[in-house]
Amino acid sequence: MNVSRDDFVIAIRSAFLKKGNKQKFSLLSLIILSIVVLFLSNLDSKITKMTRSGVNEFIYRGSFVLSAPEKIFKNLNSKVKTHFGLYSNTKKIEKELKEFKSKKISLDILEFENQKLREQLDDYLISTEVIYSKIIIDNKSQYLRSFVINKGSRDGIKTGMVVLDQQYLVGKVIEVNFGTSRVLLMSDINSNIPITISPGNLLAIATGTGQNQAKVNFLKKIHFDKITNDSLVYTSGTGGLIKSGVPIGKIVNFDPKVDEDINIEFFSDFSQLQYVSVTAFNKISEIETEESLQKNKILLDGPALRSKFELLIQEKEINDQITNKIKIENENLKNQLSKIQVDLINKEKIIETQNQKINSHKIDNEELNFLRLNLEYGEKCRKKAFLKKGYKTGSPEYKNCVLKKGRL
Amino acid sequence: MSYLRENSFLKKIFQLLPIVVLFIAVFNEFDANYLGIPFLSFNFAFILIFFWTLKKIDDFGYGLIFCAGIINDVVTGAPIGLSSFCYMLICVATSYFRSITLRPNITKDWIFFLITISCVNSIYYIILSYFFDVDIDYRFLLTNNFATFLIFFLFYFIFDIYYKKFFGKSDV
Repeated sequence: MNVSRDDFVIAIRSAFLKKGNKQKFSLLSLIILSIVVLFLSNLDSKITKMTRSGVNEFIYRGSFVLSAPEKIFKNLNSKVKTHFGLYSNTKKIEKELKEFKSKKISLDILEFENQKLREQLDDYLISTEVIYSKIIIDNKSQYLRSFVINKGSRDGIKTGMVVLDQQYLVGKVIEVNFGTSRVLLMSDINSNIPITISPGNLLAIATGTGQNQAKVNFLKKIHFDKITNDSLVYTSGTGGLIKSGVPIGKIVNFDPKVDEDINIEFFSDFSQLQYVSVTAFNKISEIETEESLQKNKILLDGPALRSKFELLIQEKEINDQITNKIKIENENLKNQLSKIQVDLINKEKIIETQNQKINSHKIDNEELNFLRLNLEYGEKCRKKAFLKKGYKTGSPEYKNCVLKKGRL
Repeated sequence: MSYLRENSFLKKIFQLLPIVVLFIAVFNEFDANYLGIPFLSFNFAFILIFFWTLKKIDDFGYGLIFCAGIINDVVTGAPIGLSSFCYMLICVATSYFRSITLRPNITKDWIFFLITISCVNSIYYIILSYFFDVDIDYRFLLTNNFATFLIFFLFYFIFDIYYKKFFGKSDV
Protein backbone atom coordinates (compact mmCIF):
# COMPACT_ATOMS: atom_id res chain seq x y z
CA MET A 1 0.00 0.00 0.00
CA ASN A 2 2.83 2.30 1.04
CA VAL A 3 4.71 1.42 -2.09
CA SER A 4 1.79 2.28 -4.37
CA ARG A 5 1.24 5.58 -2.53
CA ASP A 6 4.91 6.38 -2.89
CA ASP A 7 4.71 5.62 -6.60
CA PHE A 8 1.76 7.95 -6.94
CA VAL A 9 3.54 10.75 -5.08
CA ILE A 10 6.65 10.26 -7.18
CA ALA A 11 4.59 10.29 -10.40
CA ILE A 12 2.75 13.46 -9.36
CA ARG A 13 5.94 15.16 -8.27
CA SER A 14 7.59 14.19 -11.52
CA ALA A 15 4.58 15.50 -13.47
CA PHE A 16 4.69 18.90 -11.77
CA LEU A 17 8.39 19.47 -11.41
CA LYS A 18 10.30 17.47 -14.01
CA LYS A 19 11.47 19.37 -17.05
CA GLY A 20 12.31 17.85 -20.42
CA ASN A 21 15.55 18.30 -22.35
CA LYS A 22 14.48 21.50 -24.03
CA GLN A 23 11.82 22.58 -21.51
CA LYS A 24 12.64 25.87 -19.81
CA PHE A 25 9.73 25.89 -17.36
CA SER A 26 8.29 23.27 -15.05
CA LEU A 27 4.54 22.72 -15.13
CA LEU A 28 4.15 23.91 -11.55
CA SER A 29 5.74 27.27 -12.34
CA LEU A 30 3.50 27.69 -15.41
CA ILE A 31 0.37 26.78 -13.45
CA ILE A 32 1.27 29.37 -10.82
CA LEU A 33 2.00 31.88 -13.59
CA SER A 34 -1.38 31.23 -15.24
CA ILE A 35 -3.16 31.80 -11.89
CA VAL A 36 -1.24 35.04 -11.41
CA VAL A 37 -2.14 36.16 -14.95
CA LEU A 38 -5.77 35.23 -14.30
CA PHE A 39 -5.86 37.48 -11.22
CA LEU A 40 -3.86 40.32 -12.76
CA SER A 41 -5.93 40.44 -15.93
CA ASN A 42 -9.02 41.20 -13.90
CA LEU A 43 -7.50 43.95 -11.82
CA ASP A 44 -8.72 47.44 -12.60
CA SER A 45 -5.39 49.22 -12.43
CA LYS A 46 -4.12 51.39 -15.26
CA ILE A 47 -1.03 49.27 -15.95
CA THR A 48 -2.95 46.00 -16.26
CA LYS A 49 -5.55 47.70 -18.44
CA MET A 50 -2.89 49.03 -20.78
CA THR A 51 -1.05 45.69 -20.89
CA ARG A 52 -4.29 43.83 -21.54
CA SER A 53 -5.24 46.30 -24.22
CA GLY A 54 -1.83 45.89 -25.92
CA VAL A 55 -1.98 42.08 -25.77
CA ASN A 56 -5.55 42.08 -27.12
CA GLU A 57 -4.61 44.45 -29.91
CA PHE A 58 -1.67 42.32 -30.99
CA ILE A 59 -3.56 39.03 -30.86
CA TYR A 60 -6.66 40.42 -32.60
CA ARG A 61 -4.56 41.64 -35.52
CA GLY A 62 -2.74 38.31 -35.68
CA SER A 63 -6.00 36.40 -35.56
CA PHE A 64 -7.45 38.61 -38.32
CA VAL A 65 -4.54 37.75 -40.62
CA LEU A 66 -4.40 34.05 -39.76
CA SER A 67 -8.15 33.48 -39.99
CA ALA A 68 -8.38 34.99 -43.50
CA PRO A 69 -8.07 31.63 -45.36
CA GLU A 70 -10.56 29.98 -43.01
CA LYS A 71 -12.98 32.86 -43.54
CA ILE A 72 -12.82 32.36 -47.30
CA PHE A 73 -13.69 28.69 -46.84
CA LYS A 74 -16.53 29.53 -44.44
CA ASN A 75 -18.01 32.14 -46.76
CA LEU A 76 -17.89 29.79 -49.74
CA ASN A 77 -20.98 27.90 -48.67
CA SER A 78 -23.11 31.00 -48.16
CA LYS A 79 -21.82 32.51 -51.40
CA VAL A 80 -22.83 29.43 -53.41
CA LYS A 81 -26.29 29.49 -51.84
CA THR A 82 -26.66 33.22 -52.56
CA HIS A 83 -25.53 32.74 -56.16
CA PHE A 84 -28.09 30.05 -56.91
CA GLY A 85 -30.92 31.98 -55.29
CA LEU A 86 -29.97 35.29 -56.93
CA TYR A 87 -32.87 35.62 -59.39
CA SER A 88 -35.63 34.70 -56.95
CA ASN A 89 -34.05 36.90 -54.29
CA THR A 90 -33.92 39.89 -56.64
CA LYS A 91 -37.58 39.46 -57.59
CA LYS A 92 -38.54 39.18 -53.95
CA ILE A 93 -36.50 42.23 -53.01
CA GLU A 94 -37.97 44.29 -55.86
CA LYS A 95 -41.47 43.48 -54.68
CA GLU A 96 -40.59 44.33 -51.11
CA LEU A 97 -38.93 47.58 -52.20
CA LYS A 98 -42.11 48.73 -53.93
CA GLU A 99 -44.12 48.04 -50.79
CA PHE A 100 -41.63 49.77 -48.56
CA LYS A 101 -41.43 52.85 -50.75
CA SER A 102 -45.17 53.33 -50.48
CA LYS A 103 -44.98 52.99 -46.70
CA LYS A 104 -41.99 55.30 -46.32
CA ILE A 105 -43.77 58.65 -46.40
CA SER A 106 -46.44 57.69 -43.90
CA LEU A 107 -43.73 56.21 -41.67
CA ASP A 108 -41.75 59.45 -41.80
CA ILE A 109 -44.79 61.36 -40.69
CA LEU A 110 -45.47 58.92 -37.86
CA GLU A 111 -41.84 59.03 -36.81
CA PHE A 112 -41.93 62.78 -36.68
CA GLU A 113 -45.10 62.76 -34.60
CA ASN A 114 -43.60 60.16 -32.30
CA GLN A 115 -40.46 62.20 -31.91
CA LYS A 116 -42.44 65.30 -30.98
CA LEU A 117 -44.49 63.40 -28.40
CA ARG A 118 -41.39 61.85 -26.87
CA GLU A 119 -39.72 65.22 -26.65
CA GLN A 120 -42.73 66.42 -24.70
CA LEU A 121 -42.33 63.45 -22.35
CA ASP A 122 -38.56 64.14 -22.08
CA ASP A 123 -37.92 60.61 -23.35
CA TYR A 124 -36.43 61.36 -26.71
CA LEU A 125 -32.93 59.96 -27.17
CA ILE A 126 -30.79 60.68 -30.18
CA SER A 127 -27.62 59.00 -31.31
CA THR A 128 -24.82 61.48 -30.66
CA GLU A 129 -22.29 59.93 -33.01
CA VAL A 130 -22.42 56.95 -35.30
CA ILE A 131 -19.14 55.09 -35.83
CA TYR A 132 -19.07 52.63 -38.71
CA SER A 133 -16.74 49.70 -38.26
CA LYS A 134 -15.67 46.41 -39.81
CA ILE A 135 -15.76 43.05 -38.07
CA ILE A 136 -12.25 41.62 -37.98
CA ILE A 137 -12.75 38.51 -35.86
CA ASP A 138 -16.00 36.57 -35.86
CA ASN A 139 -15.12 33.21 -34.37
CA LYS A 140 -18.27 31.68 -33.01
CA SER A 141 -17.18 30.40 -29.65
CA GLN A 142 -19.44 27.84 -28.04
CA TYR A 143 -19.21 29.74 -24.80
CA LEU A 144 -19.17 33.42 -25.67
CA ARG A 145 -21.09 34.88 -28.61
CA SER A 146 -19.09 37.91 -29.58
CA PHE A 147 -17.03 39.49 -32.32
CA VAL A 148 -14.21 42.01 -32.58
CA ILE A 149 -14.47 45.28 -34.53
CA ASN A 150 -11.68 47.45 -35.93
CA LYS A 151 -12.55 50.58 -33.92
CA GLY A 152 -11.43 51.32 -30.39
CA SER A 153 -10.92 54.09 -27.85
CA ARG A 154 -9.01 56.26 -30.37
CA ASP A 155 -12.19 56.36 -32.50
CA GLY A 156 -14.42 57.28 -29.56
CA ILE A 157 -15.75 53.82 -28.72
CA LYS A 158 -16.72 53.35 -25.08
CA THR A 159 -17.87 50.33 -23.10
CA GLY A 160 -21.65 49.98 -23.19
CA MET A 161 -22.17 51.59 -26.58
CA VAL A 162 -24.87 50.05 -28.74
CA VAL A 163 -24.05 48.12 -31.93
CA LEU A 164 -26.51 48.16 -34.82
CA ASP A 165 -26.79 46.38 -38.15
CA GLN A 166 -28.71 48.90 -40.32
CA GLN A 167 -31.56 49.69 -37.93
CA TYR A 168 -31.48 46.39 -36.04
CA LEU A 169 -29.92 45.86 -32.65
CA VAL A 170 -26.97 43.46 -32.63
CA GLY A 171 -25.38 43.86 -29.19
CA LYS A 172 -23.22 46.14 -27.10
CA VAL A 173 -19.54 46.89 -26.59
CA ILE A 174 -18.05 45.05 -23.60
CA GLU A 175 -14.33 45.58 -24.06
CA VAL A 176 -12.46 48.51 -25.59
CA ASN A 177 -8.83 48.51 -26.67
CA PHE A 178 -6.90 51.25 -28.45
CA GLY A 179 -7.83 50.23 -32.00
CA THR A 180 -10.21 47.31 -31.49
CA SER A 181 -13.28 46.48 -29.41
CA ARG A 182 -15.24 43.37 -28.49
CA VAL A 183 -19.00 43.29 -28.99
CA LEU A 184 -21.25 40.95 -27.02
CA LEU A 185 -24.01 39.65 -29.26
CA MET A 186 -27.64 39.56 -28.17
CA SER A 187 -27.58 35.79 -28.65
CA ASP A 188 -25.05 35.29 -25.83
CA ILE A 189 -26.53 33.96 -22.61
CA ASN A 190 -24.93 36.81 -20.66
CA SER A 191 -26.88 39.38 -22.71
CA ASN A 192 -30.06 40.85 -21.16
CA ILE A 193 -31.93 43.61 -23.03
CA PRO A 194 -35.19 45.28 -21.90
CA ILE A 195 -37.79 44.80 -24.64
CA THR A 196 -41.36 45.59 -25.64
CA ILE A 197 -43.51 43.03 -27.45
CA SER A 198 -46.05 44.46 -29.84
CA PRO A 199 -49.05 44.19 -30.18
CA GLY A 200 -49.94 44.27 -26.51
CA ASN A 201 -47.13 46.61 -25.46
CA LEU A 202 -45.71 43.96 -23.11
CA LEU A 203 -42.51 44.72 -21.22
CA ALA A 204 -39.98 41.93 -20.68
CA ILE A 205 -36.28 41.03 -20.89
CA ALA A 206 -34.66 39.31 -23.88
CA THR A 207 -31.93 36.88 -22.84
CA GLY A 208 -29.61 35.14 -25.29
CA THR A 209 -29.68 31.37 -25.57
CA GLY A 210 -26.16 30.79 -26.84
CA GLN A 211 -27.64 29.83 -30.20
CA ASN A 212 -29.04 32.08 -32.92
CA GLN A 213 -32.07 33.08 -30.88
CA ALA A 214 -33.04 34.83 -27.67
CA LYS A 215 -35.86 34.02 -25.27
CA VAL A 216 -38.30 36.23 -23.41
CA ASN A 217 -37.91 36.36 -19.63
CA PHE A 218 -39.81 38.07 -16.80
CA LEU A 219 -43.19 37.99 -18.51
CA LYS A 220 -46.23 36.77 -16.57
CA LYS A 221 -48.27 33.91 -18.01
CA ILE A 222 -51.45 36.01 -17.99
CA HIS A 223 -50.03 37.96 -20.92
CA PHE A 224 -49.33 34.88 -23.04
CA ASP A 225 -52.67 35.16 -24.86
CA LYS A 226 -51.60 38.55 -26.22
CA ILE A 227 -48.53 37.04 -27.88
CA THR A 228 -48.68 35.42 -31.29
CA ASN A 229 -46.11 34.19 -33.74
CA ASP A 230 -44.67 37.14 -35.68
CA SER A 231 -45.31 39.56 -32.80
CA LEU A 232 -42.68 42.27 -33.07
CA VAL A 233 -39.93 42.73 -30.50
CA TYR A 234 -38.13 46.03 -30.03
CA THR A 235 -36.21 47.80 -27.28
CA SER A 236 -38.29 49.32 -24.51
CA GLY A 237 -35.74 51.99 -23.59
CA THR A 238 -35.86 51.01 -19.92
CA GLY A 239 -32.59 51.98 -18.27
CA GLY A 240 -31.90 54.78 -20.72
CA LEU A 241 -28.95 53.03 -22.38
CA ILE A 242 -30.76 52.18 -25.60
CA LYS A 243 -33.53 54.31 -27.02
CA SER A 244 -36.93 52.69 -27.30
CA GLY A 245 -38.19 51.37 -30.61
CA VAL A 246 -34.99 49.85 -31.97
CA PRO A 247 -36.17 46.67 -33.75
CA ILE A 248 -34.74 43.38 -32.52
CA GLY A 249 -36.73 40.52 -34.01
CA LYS A 250 -40.01 38.65 -33.96
CA ILE A 251 -41.59 35.86 -31.94
CA VAL A 252 -41.34 32.42 -33.54
CA ASN A 253 -42.56 28.89 -32.79
CA PHE A 254 -44.66 30.03 -29.84
CA ASP A 255 -47.31 27.62 -28.64
CA PRO A 256 -48.10 27.94 -24.90
CA LYS A 257 -49.80 24.52 -24.92
CA VAL A 258 -46.60 22.77 -25.99
CA ASP A 259 -43.84 24.92 -24.54
CA GLU A 260 -43.90 28.08 -22.44
CA ASP A 261 -40.59 29.33 -23.82
CA ILE A 262 -41.01 32.39 -26.02
CA ASN A 263 -38.29 32.49 -28.65
CA ILE A 264 -37.16 35.59 -30.51
CA GLU A 265 -35.73 35.30 -34.00
CA PHE A 266 -33.43 38.22 -34.73
CA PHE A 267 -34.03 40.43 -37.77
CA SER A 268 -30.29 40.60 -38.30
CA ASP A 269 -28.38 37.47 -39.32
CA PHE A 270 -25.39 37.57 -36.99
CA SER A 271 -23.48 34.98 -39.03
CA GLN A 272 -23.48 37.26 -42.09
CA LEU A 273 -22.38 40.49 -40.45
CA GLN A 274 -19.46 42.33 -42.04
CA TYR A 275 -19.98 45.94 -41.09
CA VAL A 276 -21.79 47.42 -38.09
CA SER A 277 -22.47 50.87 -36.68
CA VAL A 278 -21.65 51.73 -33.08
CA THR A 279 -23.57 54.48 -31.35
CA ALA A 280 -24.56 55.91 -27.98
CA PHE A 281 -27.96 57.40 -27.21
CA ASN A 282 -28.38 60.60 -25.19
CA LYS A 283 -31.18 62.98 -24.38
CA ILE A 284 -31.17 66.24 -26.30
CA SER A 285 -31.29 68.26 -23.09
CA GLU A 286 -28.21 66.41 -21.77
CA ILE A 287 -26.34 67.13 -24.94
CA GLU A 288 -27.36 70.76 -24.75
CA THR A 289 -26.12 71.07 -21.18
CA GLU A 290 -22.81 69.32 -21.85
CA GLU A 291 -22.13 71.28 -24.96
CA SER A 292 -23.09 74.61 -23.48
CA LEU A 293 -20.73 74.03 -20.58
CA GLN A 294 -17.91 72.81 -22.77
CA LYS A 295 -18.12 75.38 -25.51
CA ASN A 296 -18.73 78.36 -23.27
CA LYS A 297 -22.15 79.10 -24.65
CA ILE A 298 -21.14 79.45 -28.28
CA LEU A 299 -24.63 79.54 -29.67
CA LEU A 300 -24.34 79.25 -33.41
CA ASP A 301 -21.94 76.31 -33.54
CA GLY A 302 -23.48 74.34 -30.66
CA PRO A 303 -24.37 70.74 -31.55
CA ALA A 304 -27.61 71.15 -29.61
CA LEU A 305 -28.64 73.99 -31.90
CA ARG A 306 -27.40 72.03 -34.86
CA SER A 307 -29.47 69.04 -33.83
CA LYS A 308 -32.49 71.31 -33.37
CA PHE A 309 -31.80 72.85 -36.72
CA GLU A 310 -31.59 69.37 -38.24
CA LEU A 311 -34.88 68.50 -36.59
CA LEU A 312 -36.44 71.64 -38.07
CA ILE A 313 -35.07 70.75 -41.49
CA GLN A 314 -36.53 67.28 -41.12
CA GLU A 315 -39.84 68.83 -40.06
CA LYS A 316 -39.75 71.12 -43.07
CA GLU A 317 -38.96 68.23 -45.39
CA ILE A 318 -41.85 66.22 -44.02
CA ASN A 319 -44.15 69.26 -44.29
CA ASP A 320 -43.03 69.78 -47.88
CA GLN A 321 -43.73 66.17 -48.61
CA ILE A 322 -47.20 66.48 -47.08
CA THR A 323 -47.87 69.69 -49.08
CA ASN A 324 -46.74 68.06 -52.30
CA LYS A 325 -48.88 65.06 -51.58
CA ILE A 326 -51.92 67.27 -50.91
CA LYS A 327 -51.25 69.31 -54.07
CA ILE A 328 -51.09 66.20 -56.19
CA GLU A 329 -54.28 64.90 -54.60
CA ASN A 330 -55.96 68.28 -55.21
CA GLU A 331 -54.99 68.25 -58.87
CA ASN A 332 -56.28 64.74 -59.22
CA LEU A 333 -59.57 65.69 -57.59
CA LYS A 334 -59.96 68.70 -59.90
CA ASN A 335 -59.37 66.57 -62.94
CA GLN A 336 -61.84 64.02 -61.69
CA LEU A 337 -64.45 66.74 -61.04
CA SER A 338 -64.15 68.22 -64.54
CA LYS A 339 -64.37 64.75 -66.04
CA ILE A 340 -67.49 64.02 -64.01
CA GLN A 341 -69.09 67.31 -65.14
CA VAL A 342 -68.44 66.52 -68.80
CA ASP A 343 -69.85 63.06 -68.29
CA LEU A 344 -72.94 64.54 -66.65
CA ILE A 345 -73.61 66.90 -69.55
CA ASN A 346 -73.19 64.11 -72.07
CA LYS A 347 -75.49 61.85 -70.13
CA GLU A 348 -78.15 64.59 -69.82
CA LYS A 349 -78.07 64.95 -73.59
CA ILE A 350 -78.47 61.24 -74.05
CA ILE A 351 -81.40 61.20 -71.63
CA GLU A 352 -83.11 64.03 -73.50
CA THR A 353 -82.84 62.28 -76.87
CA GLN A 354 -84.07 59.08 -75.32
CA ASN A 355 -87.06 60.90 -73.82
CA GLN A 356 -87.86 62.35 -77.22
CA LYS A 357 -87.70 58.91 -78.72
CA ILE A 358 -89.97 57.52 -76.01
CA ASN A 359 -92.49 60.33 -76.55
CA SER A 360 -92.53 59.85 -80.30
CA HIS A 361 -92.94 56.16 -79.74
CA LYS A 362 -95.94 56.90 -77.45
CA ILE A 363 -97.56 59.13 -80.09
CA ASP A 364 -97.03 56.50 -82.70
CA ASN A 365 -98.73 53.98 -80.51
CA GLU A 366 -101.76 56.25 -79.93
CA GLU A 367 -102.06 56.93 -83.68
CA LEU A 368 -101.88 53.25 -84.43
CA ASN A 369 -104.56 52.51 -81.86
CA PHE A 370 -106.80 55.22 -83.34
CA LEU A 371 -106.39 53.86 -86.87
CA ARG A 372 -107.14 50.36 -85.71
CA LEU A 373 -110.33 51.53 -83.91
CA ASN A 374 -111.20 53.77 -86.85
CA LEU A 375 -111.30 50.78 -89.12
CA GLU A 376 -113.59 49.01 -86.72
CA TYR A 377 -115.81 51.80 -85.38
CA GLY A 378 -115.32 54.61 -87.89
CA GLU A 379 -118.55 53.73 -89.66
CA LYS A 380 -120.58 54.21 -86.49
CA CYS A 381 -119.12 57.60 -85.72
CA ARG A 382 -119.18 59.11 -89.24
CA LYS A 383 -122.00 61.55 -90.07
CA LYS A 384 -124.35 60.22 -92.74
CA ALA A 385 -126.52 62.13 -95.20
CA PHE A 386 -129.88 61.24 -93.68
CA LEU A 387 -129.10 60.86 -90.06
CA LYS A 388 -128.48 63.43 -87.39
CA LYS A 389 -126.14 61.18 -85.46
CA GLY A 390 -122.36 61.12 -86.15
CA TYR A 391 -119.59 63.56 -86.57
CA LYS A 392 -117.64 65.03 -89.37
CA THR A 393 -114.60 62.95 -90.27
CA GLY A 394 -111.36 64.38 -88.84
CA SER A 395 -113.08 66.46 -86.15
CA PRO A 396 -112.06 66.03 -82.51
CA GLU A 397 -115.55 64.67 -81.67
CA TYR A 398 -115.14 62.04 -84.33
CA LYS A 399 -111.79 61.06 -82.93
CA ASN A 400 -113.22 60.90 -79.44
CA CYS A 401 -116.10 58.72 -80.67
CA VAL A 402 -113.72 56.27 -82.38
CA LEU A 403 -111.59 56.04 -79.26
CA LYS A 404 -114.77 55.31 -77.24
CA LYS A 405 -115.39 52.43 -79.65
CA GLY A 406 -118.30 54.00 -81.51
CA ARG A 407 -120.34 55.26 -78.52
CA LEU A 408 -121.82 58.58 -79.49
CA MET B 1 9.77 10.18 -47.53
CA SER B 2 13.32 9.18 -46.63
CA TYR B 3 14.48 12.36 -48.38
CA LEU B 4 12.36 14.39 -45.99
CA ARG B 5 13.86 12.61 -43.01
CA GLU B 6 17.40 13.15 -44.26
CA ASN B 7 16.93 16.85 -45.05
CA SER B 8 17.46 18.50 -41.67
CA PHE B 9 15.67 21.76 -42.59
CA LEU B 10 12.49 20.00 -43.76
CA LYS B 11 12.69 17.63 -40.81
CA LYS B 12 12.79 20.59 -38.45
CA ILE B 13 9.76 22.11 -40.17
CA PHE B 14 7.81 18.87 -39.83
CA GLN B 15 8.84 18.58 -36.19
CA LEU B 16 7.62 22.11 -35.52
CA LEU B 17 4.37 21.54 -37.39
CA PRO B 18 2.31 20.30 -34.37
CA ILE B 19 3.01 23.47 -32.38
CA VAL B 20 2.36 25.62 -35.47
CA VAL B 21 -0.97 23.84 -35.94
CA LEU B 22 -1.79 24.49 -32.28
CA PHE B 23 -1.15 28.22 -32.73
CA ILE B 24 -3.23 28.33 -35.91
CA ALA B 25 -6.02 26.46 -34.10
CA VAL B 26 -6.11 28.89 -31.18
CA PHE B 27 -5.86 31.94 -33.41
CA ASN B 28 -8.80 30.69 -35.48
CA GLU B 29 -10.63 28.92 -32.68
CA PHE B 30 -10.74 25.96 -35.04
CA ASP B 31 -13.65 23.57 -34.62
CA ALA B 32 -14.30 22.57 -38.27
CA ASN B 33 -18.01 23.26 -37.89
CA TYR B 34 -18.48 25.31 -41.05
CA LEU B 35 -22.00 24.06 -41.69
CA GLY B 36 -23.18 25.31 -38.30
CA ILE B 37 -24.50 21.89 -37.22
CA PRO B 38 -25.37 22.15 -33.54
CA PHE B 39 -23.27 20.19 -31.04
CA LEU B 40 -20.71 19.15 -33.68
CA SER B 41 -17.91 21.39 -32.47
CA PHE B 42 -14.90 19.92 -30.72
CA ASN B 43 -11.88 21.29 -28.93
CA PHE B 44 -9.02 20.69 -31.34
CA ALA B 45 -6.47 22.32 -29.03
CA PHE B 46 -7.21 19.73 -26.30
CA ILE B 47 -6.57 16.86 -28.73
CA LEU B 48 -3.32 18.38 -29.97
CA ILE B 49 -1.99 19.15 -26.51
CA PHE B 50 -2.98 15.78 -25.08
CA PHE B 51 -1.46 13.74 -27.90
CA TRP B 52 1.78 15.63 -28.36
CA THR B 53 2.56 16.12 -24.66
CA LEU B 54 1.85 12.44 -24.14
CA LYS B 55 4.41 11.67 -26.83
CA LYS B 56 6.73 14.17 -25.14
CA ILE B 57 8.29 15.73 -28.17
CA ASP B 58 10.82 18.46 -27.40
CA ASP B 59 9.46 21.09 -29.75
CA PHE B 60 6.02 20.99 -28.13
CA GLY B 61 7.15 22.97 -25.10
CA TYR B 62 5.05 23.89 -22.09
CA GLY B 63 5.94 27.56 -22.45
CA LEU B 64 4.53 27.62 -25.96
CA ILE B 65 1.38 25.82 -24.82
CA PHE B 66 1.02 28.47 -22.12
CA CYS B 67 1.26 31.22 -24.77
CA ALA B 68 -1.29 29.38 -26.94
CA GLY B 69 -3.66 29.42 -23.96
CA ILE B 70 -3.26 33.19 -23.57
CA ILE B 71 -4.03 33.65 -27.28
CA ASN B 72 -7.06 31.37 -27.03
CA ASP B 73 -8.43 33.42 -24.12
CA VAL B 74 -8.01 36.70 -25.98
CA VAL B 75 -9.65 35.33 -29.14
CA THR B 76 -12.61 33.75 -27.34
CA GLY B 77 -13.04 36.63 -24.88
CA ALA B 78 -12.51 34.48 -21.79
CA PRO B 79 -10.57 35.79 -18.77
CA ILE B 80 -6.89 35.84 -19.75
CA GLY B 81 -4.97 32.95 -18.22
CA LEU B 82 -7.89 30.54 -17.91
CA SER B 83 -7.14 28.45 -21.02
CA SER B 84 -3.44 28.44 -20.13
CA PHE B 85 -4.36 27.04 -16.74
CA CYS B 86 -6.54 24.36 -18.38
CA TYR B 87 -3.85 23.47 -20.91
CA MET B 88 -1.31 23.14 -18.10
CA LEU B 89 -3.67 20.78 -16.27
CA ILE B 90 -3.81 18.61 -19.40
CA CYS B 91 -0.01 18.65 -19.50
CA VAL B 92 0.11 17.56 -15.85
CA ALA B 93 -2.32 14.74 -16.60
CA THR B 94 -0.34 13.51 -19.60
CA SER B 95 2.92 13.77 -17.70
CA TYR B 96 1.46 11.71 -14.87
CA PHE B 97 -0.09 9.21 -17.28
CA ARG B 98 3.18 8.80 -19.14
CA SER B 99 5.08 8.05 -15.94
CA ILE B 100 2.59 5.41 -14.71
CA THR B 101 2.04 3.66 -18.07
CA LEU B 102 4.31 0.81 -19.04
CA ARG B 103 2.49 -0.55 -22.06
CA PRO B 104 0.58 2.23 -23.74
CA ASN B 105 -2.27 1.49 -26.11
CA ILE B 106 -4.96 3.52 -27.80
CA THR B 107 -7.83 2.35 -25.55
CA LYS B 108 -6.06 3.42 -22.38
CA ASP B 109 -5.11 6.75 -23.95
CA TRP B 110 -8.61 7.29 -25.17
CA ILE B 111 -10.24 6.60 -21.78
CA PHE B 112 -7.68 8.70 -19.97
CA PHE B 113 -8.30 11.50 -22.47
CA LEU B 114 -12.02 11.43 -21.61
CA ILE B 115 -11.28 11.62 -17.88
CA THR B 116 -8.78 14.44 -18.40
CA ILE B 117 -10.92 16.66 -20.60
CA SER B 118 -13.99 16.07 -18.42
CA CYS B 119 -12.07 17.25 -15.36
CA VAL B 120 -10.53 20.19 -17.20
CA ASN B 121 -13.87 21.30 -18.66
CA SER B 122 -15.48 21.03 -15.23
CA ILE B 123 -12.74 23.21 -13.74
CA TYR B 124 -13.19 25.65 -16.65
CA TYR B 125 -16.95 25.82 -15.98
CA ILE B 126 -16.52 26.24 -12.23
CA ILE B 127 -13.94 29.01 -12.57
CA LEU B 128 -16.00 30.93 -15.14
CA SER B 129 -19.32 30.55 -13.32
CA TYR B 130 -18.26 31.05 -9.72
CA PHE B 131 -15.20 33.29 -9.92
CA PHE B 132 -15.98 35.42 -12.95
CA ASP B 133 -19.79 35.32 -12.95
CA VAL B 134 -19.92 34.39 -16.63
CA ASP B 135 -22.84 32.17 -17.59
CA ILE B 136 -22.10 29.18 -19.81
CA ASP B 137 -24.59 26.74 -21.20
CA TYR B 138 -23.23 23.54 -19.65
CA ARG B 139 -25.00 21.47 -22.35
CA PHE B 140 -22.61 22.93 -24.93
CA LEU B 141 -19.70 22.07 -22.71
CA LEU B 142 -20.93 18.50 -22.28
CA THR B 143 -21.59 17.93 -25.98
CA ASN B 144 -18.29 19.56 -26.88
CA ASN B 145 -16.58 17.29 -24.36
CA PHE B 146 -18.22 14.19 -25.85
CA ALA B 147 -17.54 15.24 -29.46
CA THR B 148 -13.89 15.92 -28.60
CA PHE B 149 -13.66 12.48 -26.99
CA LEU B 150 -15.13 10.76 -30.07
CA ILE B 151 -13.03 12.62 -32.62
CA PHE B 152 -9.82 12.00 -30.64
CA PHE B 153 -9.84 8.42 -31.96
CA LEU B 154 -9.54 9.64 -35.56
CA PHE B 155 -6.85 12.21 -34.82
CA TYR B 156 -4.92 9.68 -32.74
CA PHE B 157 -4.39 7.53 -35.85
CA ILE B 158 -3.42 10.50 -38.02
CA PHE B 159 -1.03 11.93 -35.44
CA ASP B 160 0.45 8.52 -34.70
CA ILE B 161 1.32 8.00 -38.36
CA TYR B 162 2.86 11.47 -38.46
CA TYR B 163 4.75 10.80 -35.24
CA LYS B 164 6.22 7.54 -36.50
CA LYS B 165 7.29 9.20 -39.76
CA PHE B 166 9.02 12.25 -38.33
CA PHE B 167 9.85 11.50 -34.70
CA GLY B 168 10.57 7.79 -34.73
CA LYS B 169 8.71 5.07 -32.81
CA SER B 170 6.51 6.02 -29.88
CA ASP B 171 8.28 6.06 -26.55
CA VAL B 172 5.03 5.93 -24.58
